[in-house]
Amino acid sequence: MSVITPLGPAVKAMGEEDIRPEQKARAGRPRRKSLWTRLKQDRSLLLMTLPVVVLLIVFAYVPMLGNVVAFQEYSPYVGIPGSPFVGFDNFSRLLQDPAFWHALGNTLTITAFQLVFFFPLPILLAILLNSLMQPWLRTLIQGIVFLPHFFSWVIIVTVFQQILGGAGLISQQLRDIGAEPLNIMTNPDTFVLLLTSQTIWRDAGWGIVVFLAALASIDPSQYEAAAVDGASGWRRMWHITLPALRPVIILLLILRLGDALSVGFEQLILQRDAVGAEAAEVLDTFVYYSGVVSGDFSYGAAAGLLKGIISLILVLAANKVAHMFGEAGVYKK
Amino acid sequence: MTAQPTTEALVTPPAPRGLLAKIWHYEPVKRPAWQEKPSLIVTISKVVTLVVVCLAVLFPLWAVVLTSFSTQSAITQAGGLVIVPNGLTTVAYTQILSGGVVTKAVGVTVFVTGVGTALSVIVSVLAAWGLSRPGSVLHRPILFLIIITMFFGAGIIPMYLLVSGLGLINSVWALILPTAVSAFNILIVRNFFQSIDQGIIDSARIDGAGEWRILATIVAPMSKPVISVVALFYGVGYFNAFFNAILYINDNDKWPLQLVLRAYVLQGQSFVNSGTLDTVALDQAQPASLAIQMAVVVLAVVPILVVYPFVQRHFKSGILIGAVKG
Amino acid sequence: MNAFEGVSDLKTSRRGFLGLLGFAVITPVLASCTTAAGSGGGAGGGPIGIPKGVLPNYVPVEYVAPDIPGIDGSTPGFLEWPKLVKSVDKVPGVGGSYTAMTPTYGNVVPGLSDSKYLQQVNEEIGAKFDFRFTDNNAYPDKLQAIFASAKDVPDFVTIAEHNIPARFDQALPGLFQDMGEYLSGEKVEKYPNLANIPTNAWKSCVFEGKLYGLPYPSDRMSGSSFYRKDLFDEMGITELPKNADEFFDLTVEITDEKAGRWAGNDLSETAKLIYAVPPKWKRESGKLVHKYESDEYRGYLEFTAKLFAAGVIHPDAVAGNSGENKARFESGKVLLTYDGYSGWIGSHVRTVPTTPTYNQQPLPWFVHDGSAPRFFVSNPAKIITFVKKQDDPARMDEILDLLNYIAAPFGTTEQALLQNGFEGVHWEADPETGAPVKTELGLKEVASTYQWLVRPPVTQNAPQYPDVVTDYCNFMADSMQYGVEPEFYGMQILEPVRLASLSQPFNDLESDIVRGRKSLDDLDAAVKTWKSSGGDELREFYAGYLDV
Repeated sequence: MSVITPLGPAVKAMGEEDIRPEQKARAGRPRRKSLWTRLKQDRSLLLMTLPVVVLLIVFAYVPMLGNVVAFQEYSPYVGIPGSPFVGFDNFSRLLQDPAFWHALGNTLTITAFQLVFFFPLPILLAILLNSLMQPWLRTLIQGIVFLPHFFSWVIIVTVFQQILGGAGLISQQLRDIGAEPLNIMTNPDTFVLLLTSQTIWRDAGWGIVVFLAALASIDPSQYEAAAVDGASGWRRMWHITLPALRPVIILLLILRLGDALSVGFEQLILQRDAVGAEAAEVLDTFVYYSGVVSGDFSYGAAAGLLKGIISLILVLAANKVAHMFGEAGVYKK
Repeated sequence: MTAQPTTEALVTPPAPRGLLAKIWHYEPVKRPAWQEKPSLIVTISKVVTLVVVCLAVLFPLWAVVLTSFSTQSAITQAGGLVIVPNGLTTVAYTQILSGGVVTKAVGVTVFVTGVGTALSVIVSVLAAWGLSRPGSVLHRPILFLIIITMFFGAGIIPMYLLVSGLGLINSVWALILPTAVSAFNILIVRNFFQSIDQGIIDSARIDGAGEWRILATIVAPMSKPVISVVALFYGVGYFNAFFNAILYINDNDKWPLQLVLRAYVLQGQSFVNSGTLDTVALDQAQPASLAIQMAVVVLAVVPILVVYPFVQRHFKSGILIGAVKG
Repeated sequence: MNAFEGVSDLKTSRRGFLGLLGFAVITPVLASCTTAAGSGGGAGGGPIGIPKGVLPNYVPVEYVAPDIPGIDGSTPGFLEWPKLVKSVDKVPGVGGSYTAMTPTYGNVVPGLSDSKYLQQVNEEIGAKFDFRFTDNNAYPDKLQAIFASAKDVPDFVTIAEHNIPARFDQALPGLFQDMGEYLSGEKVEKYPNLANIPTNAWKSCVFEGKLYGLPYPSDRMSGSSFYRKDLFDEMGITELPKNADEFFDLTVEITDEKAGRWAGNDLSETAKLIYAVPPKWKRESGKLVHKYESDEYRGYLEFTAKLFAAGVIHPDAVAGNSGENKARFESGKVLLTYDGYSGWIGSHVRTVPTTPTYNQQPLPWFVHDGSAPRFFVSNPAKIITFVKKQDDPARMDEILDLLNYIAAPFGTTEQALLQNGFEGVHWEADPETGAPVKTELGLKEVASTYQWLVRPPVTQNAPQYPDVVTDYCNFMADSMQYGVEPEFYGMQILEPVRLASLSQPFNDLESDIVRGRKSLDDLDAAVKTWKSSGGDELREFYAGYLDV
């Protein structure tokens, strides 16, 4: 008997080689198949990927060629052919700008902070929610916590100001009892905390969704079997629930690392004046203000390319590390 | 294949007939036999956590909804968000909803979200299955093709020139096609597909089933949770998007809902502080009252609430399928 | 951001925003006189000023005499609804179709297919105008995109002064029509309503020595500090400040945190007025001194920092929430604000229904040391509409006739139609004043549309509120004696691209200094850096324009 097992171990168990049943049957004559034969054999699979490939080539790769302007001094009125080539000038200008490094530093700080304080929350919340007995309660709470995701940042910042701001609800109450009003919204030193709490408020409930789906694939009879064998609640969580979530967690962690250099844009611009550029400058806003103001497309494109390359390297490295721990990661080697 | 009873079946007592009987005989959901009674500490901490979480979310939501239904004087008295009802009116909503602009925008958004999500989910599921076998031909190149798009984007100008060149300017398809594919979502589905027990698939293949058949009859039904998740992600992406509309849509009767709502919320004030005083905006801006801004927020969320129950049912825990004999 | 958002959201929102922004543009912030980056003065090298004969002649025509005449350039006012005069005899259009990109400010205007107003006006003028309304916040992005794709540029493009994109001088000759061919000198006299537009406004349409675009003339005074007279009266405040110290004391006096009342929104602009900070350049003993280097700038920053430190600024304004400025002022949470002058009437109209005693007045002029007040007059035309090069010259004739119609001043039937719509459909005559009172349909459909293309000289009219108009016009007439034209007044000077981002650090610096995060020492350091990394070069560049 075999059932759908939770993600992960099953994959490892089957091994990572591409041995197909037909091939196994012919074992003893493992021969490198010709490309043509393989194309014919896998044509269904190829056909399935075709729509995505076409869409991506047309809408992602063709315009991506425009990034060549990172190596030029581009003017849209003269076009790419007419704009002069400047090699790596834009890149070196970028790397020599202390403001760039400061923005990068801020970005990484925020990412790290959110990785520690925000990333685990949806997982914990999902497990908690999943352990509730009453399905109606589960549905209700799930519905409630994922609503904030649909508020735009403009509204979220407004709401936070209305409640936590210097003239907000809490501050007014504090004044009434003679205490000092709150200063959170304009304090650059605690800005990372503020950012993270806003992100938690908005997205913690939203993030549960993926994990709930993973938890939904766990066969409850496993729990029963384990309980019968004498495993306590905590041990069942450790040996059944968590391993079920592991591949998804790893995947998301790796992808999050790939996204490490993006920590928000609108959220930061809205609060830039409140806490100052020094605290609120991240890569995206840096590029916007320094490249965009002067209409310096080339600079912006160079920054975009640099960001992409760094992110790609981060993901590849993280994936390698995952492999070392025996996990599948984003893709297998 | 034997279907295992779902957790629901294990714990739900048989339904009493008649409403009164239902109330009289109401019993809380029973715990399955193998699960121990949770300790008091655990229960308390669970309850406390949940209450805190719900309050943190509900309190601002309550304030937003209440403010949207409050009169201007109530808002002025409260000095901002209203938390205690003090005069109610539906004026904010009638103002936004009258004029047909919003209703047209809803139509556009429904079309874009519906068609876009369907399209995106289909092509993503197909691609994910097509890439679920690491040894298949061109597996790595295609996978990389998809992954690379997560890191490198294109600028506004090349995108605009492309969309214009394809004749999609001012067409709702410009709101669908350029963002139809999300590498992230494909990877999620692929991850789930690859964790399905190979045994079932292999036996199907040996039985002579083609990949299309396997996908349609075996894999997809068993992957409802992840497909729902991805459909939700795509759907929300389409629903929330406004920037593409800014660029590619010329007629404002083709504006999606988010764009309309955003105009109300930003009130004409320049939101990016570029340092100049936009004196033209000062003269022209018609700041919407807080009630209208909050009404806008509520309007943006209502469609989600409507769709949510249909999607949520796929996240229930329970077994999905059965077994392969053997 | 977290990884839990579907990337299709990412592509258009965040990452998309960055990646897309790799090419995005905009906003040169410019203060009032000059605009953004260009590739340097003139195609041939030297700075080109305004050549003789380029500007259209000024032939003022008065159809209806204003109740409060303009003095020295102040805005004239009408207290009653005048008897309308027809200014254009024949139907201007001959059936042409035109597209126009115009801004909207927070309102959503029904488009051609939905709007009776647009349809009927089109019929009336004999041409089909299809407006591409674009929200003000989206404007710079959209401009950049369409400029790169010539076929997508509509026939008319309206651009506010601070949205003029980089390298605009390269875009102009290829995309837009040199209007000088049709309007320079006496050519404009064929179109009396266009000739009625003051020369200063046309000055702002001259780019690289040629006349591009049509002006949207503005008040000579763009903004003012306002105070809530009704609340001041209630609080018993009768003395208004005459110097910076008195102003400071006033703000402290009227702030009452517990009562939820603060002195002002972000009072930086007010402080700039108090210290008479030049918008960009001033001349000191023959040499150009930039705003950043000036004593006035330093003084204003120091003073504003004092205000912030004293806690008289509303916390939300401290937190950078300027979108609620008007709301806070109108609801009495702050008593002082800086607003666009024309926004005064808007605020009044909006607030009086719920607060009948509402009374907003401009703060009388004073400078920090109590000496003779002065302020810098604003750009004569803050918005310019450019006309795309037409393939068919016959279209230009029609365009000019249409523009002539649209530029009809207040008091004409044409202007009344454009501003109010059709009687019975969009407005009803008020029984007392005869002035149009908009119906529900009118409120929905009638908004600034055609008037973005070209506008007659500014007048103020609000027959339901004659008091406000009186205050407005009288104050402005009175203020004109203090008005000073800044250096390079009205000239469009496109700066070299490489020098365009020099001012960016100062935006953040101003925000930091006033909030106490940085000190005046940081200002000194920034000015030094500014000088060496291009400021002096900029000075040279502008000096070239002093003589043209």
